Amino acid sequence: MAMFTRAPKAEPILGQNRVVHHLLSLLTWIIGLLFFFPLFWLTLNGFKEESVANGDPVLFFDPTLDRFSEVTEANAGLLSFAEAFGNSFWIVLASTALAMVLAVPAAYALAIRPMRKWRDVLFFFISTKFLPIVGIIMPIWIIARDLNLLGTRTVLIVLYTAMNLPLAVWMLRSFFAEVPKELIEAAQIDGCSLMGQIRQVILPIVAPGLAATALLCVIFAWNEFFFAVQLNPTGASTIPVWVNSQQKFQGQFLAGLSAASVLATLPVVIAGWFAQKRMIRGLAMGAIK
Amino acid sequence: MSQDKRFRSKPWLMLMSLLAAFALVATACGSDATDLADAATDAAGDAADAAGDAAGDAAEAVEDAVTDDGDDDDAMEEEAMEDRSITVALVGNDNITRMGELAAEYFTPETGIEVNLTVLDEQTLREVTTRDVGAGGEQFDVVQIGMYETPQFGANGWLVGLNDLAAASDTYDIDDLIPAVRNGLSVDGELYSSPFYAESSFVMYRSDIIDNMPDAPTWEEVAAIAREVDSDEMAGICLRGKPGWGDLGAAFTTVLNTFGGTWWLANDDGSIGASQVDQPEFAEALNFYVDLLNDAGEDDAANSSFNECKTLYEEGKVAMWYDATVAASLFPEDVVENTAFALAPTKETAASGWLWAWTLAIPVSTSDQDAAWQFIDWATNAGYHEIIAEEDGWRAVPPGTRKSLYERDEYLEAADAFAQRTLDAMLAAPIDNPGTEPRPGLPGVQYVGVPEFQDVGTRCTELFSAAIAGSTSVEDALADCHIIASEVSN
Repeated sequence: MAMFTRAPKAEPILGQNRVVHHLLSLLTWIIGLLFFFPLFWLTLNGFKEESVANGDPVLFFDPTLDRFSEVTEANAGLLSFAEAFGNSFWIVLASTALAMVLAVPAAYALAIRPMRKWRDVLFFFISTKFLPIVGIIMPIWIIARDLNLLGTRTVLIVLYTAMNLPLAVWMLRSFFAEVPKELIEAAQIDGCSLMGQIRQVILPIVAPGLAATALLCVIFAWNEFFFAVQLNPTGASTIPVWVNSQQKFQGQFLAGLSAASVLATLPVVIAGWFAQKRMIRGLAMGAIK
Repeated sequence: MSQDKRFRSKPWLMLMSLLAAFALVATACGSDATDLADAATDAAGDAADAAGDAAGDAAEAVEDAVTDDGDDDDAMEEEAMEDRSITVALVGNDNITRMGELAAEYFTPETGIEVNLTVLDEQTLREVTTRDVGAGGEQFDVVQIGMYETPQFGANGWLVGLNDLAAASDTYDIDDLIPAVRNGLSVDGELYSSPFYAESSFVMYRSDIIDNMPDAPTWEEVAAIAREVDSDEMAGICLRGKPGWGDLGAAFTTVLNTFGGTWWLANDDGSIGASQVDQPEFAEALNFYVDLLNDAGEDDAANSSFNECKTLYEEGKVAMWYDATVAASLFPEDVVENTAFALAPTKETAASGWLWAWTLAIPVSTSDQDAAWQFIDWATNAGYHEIIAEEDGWRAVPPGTRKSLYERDEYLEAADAFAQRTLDAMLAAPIDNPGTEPRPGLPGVQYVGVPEFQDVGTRCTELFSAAIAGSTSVEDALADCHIIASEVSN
């Protein structure tokens, strides 16, 4: 009689056990909601009257769009939402484009055709992020003053490009490193020029990575406050400075400030929502693997 | 390929289209359609500006040639007038925003000077303007600064003296300024900034609940009443507990002064002497303040300052509030009706109310001093009071700066409940001699008029606020604060 023995039951890994699975799901939801709650409360406050927002917290109230219309109303002489949005838009667009234009060749060289001591070069790029910004603001301010760049968009375009460049180079380098060498060699054998290799072989493969990098540059530049308020607090300033201007030192402003904050975060949230698939794919294939 | 399919296959195209549309709509909503084009031009940098200027000059030259009627000087003068603009740095506040609106309505049409306002929160504005004024950033023609900064900036030579400009003006009348305010903004008799509004401190209390408050109470009397009326529904008193030299630091320092304490002794040359934070008077004042808040203060006192206390008082959650006199002019009518006012409480000194003014000053780096002064003159003279009164009523007039306001029957009638009390508080504020000991630096009541106070005051009030919250003891807070204050002693 044949003896059948049951194979020993495999030890369930964490998450395969149903109870653990449900607990993990619950924990994930709790953590997710905790992260989301401030944004949810901020959005709710934006639809409240000032007296309601500043009183005891309530979940149910008569929603109003008045705060949104108040903060977006253009007052003579004051930086308006429209002006700040326009400034941010052009500054972010220009700085991201410049950062990408500079970062792509640098990343290509570091990944596909590494030169001697390329690791040192890579480290140098990232080392520029080690210095606290507050430690270098005074020299930058003096240079901007002497070049008559204080209060201009140009100074922010230059600084945001420089700020995002190391990150872009690092991210893009890891994406370029993922491109199979055989493909490039095959293109070379077929007589493809360098630009042709980049355009027709490499860029289509790293496109999700490019998108993810560009989006991160956009988010960092859009949210940047310190440089903007120190070097360009006057009329040509950006959305974060406009949000800051909604605070009052005497009088209630919480609901108005919340409405302004919602408007400020909206473009980034929309961009993230549209790009999430591409961004996750990009991040998964690249640096944060 | 359909539009929808194209967007689905290229989400970036859709995203960029959306962002561009958002920018266009936002720009169109807030201002005229040329702004976006202007933004693009500016982003292209100075080259575009230069090209624009050259084109503009050429167009003007052609226009001049065509329309020349022999009156070139007038035309040029008019043109120069039209081109004038100033940039003003301000702290966010309804009064200030209103001034910006009225400047566009009244000042610009009258003078041809366009006013660009930069509004920031108080702390950021201090950082930005201090550097700009001190290091000649030339970003601002007029800056809003407080009574703490004015004498220091003036003594450093960073601000334009206003005496001569005021004397040459037909509308300003420097002698109409309330003397204590004028003194607080002057160095050796030279006025360095013009007050937009000024305030002292007093006690505001519910007259329907408290009927035994003296006109000039002591802190013991105020504390006893606060403890008496304190209940679960209504706290006895609201006091500032939020860290910051201008928040908790302001309210507490007036208590410290009248308890006979001081932050530092003064050396013979007026510099900072030994720290007095370890002295019994300092400990007595802080213990009194913390105990009063623990026994009868508002909930979450360690996070409360002017705005929070104002809300609590208006909602009927505190029976009494010790804070800035300007609060009275911001109350709704029904709150004013049930509110009475008493002078700032005292202990060892005759008076203890603080003195503060938000003012407008001209940095020496301005490129158009004349335009800057014209604006300051307009925004801070008695004529501006008339404009505000006409537009928003007499109660909305920025208080505390000019004697003439308190002689206007219309104002006294509209602000009947608090006008005289505010004036009494302003006149009583002990700007030159706030405590029982001489103190270092320039005059000041709720602060010490030395640059170091900003940092020491902020760091120490963080410790004091922690003591109010109960996360540290008063003794430990005082010991740590003494170390901080001693670091700057000479």
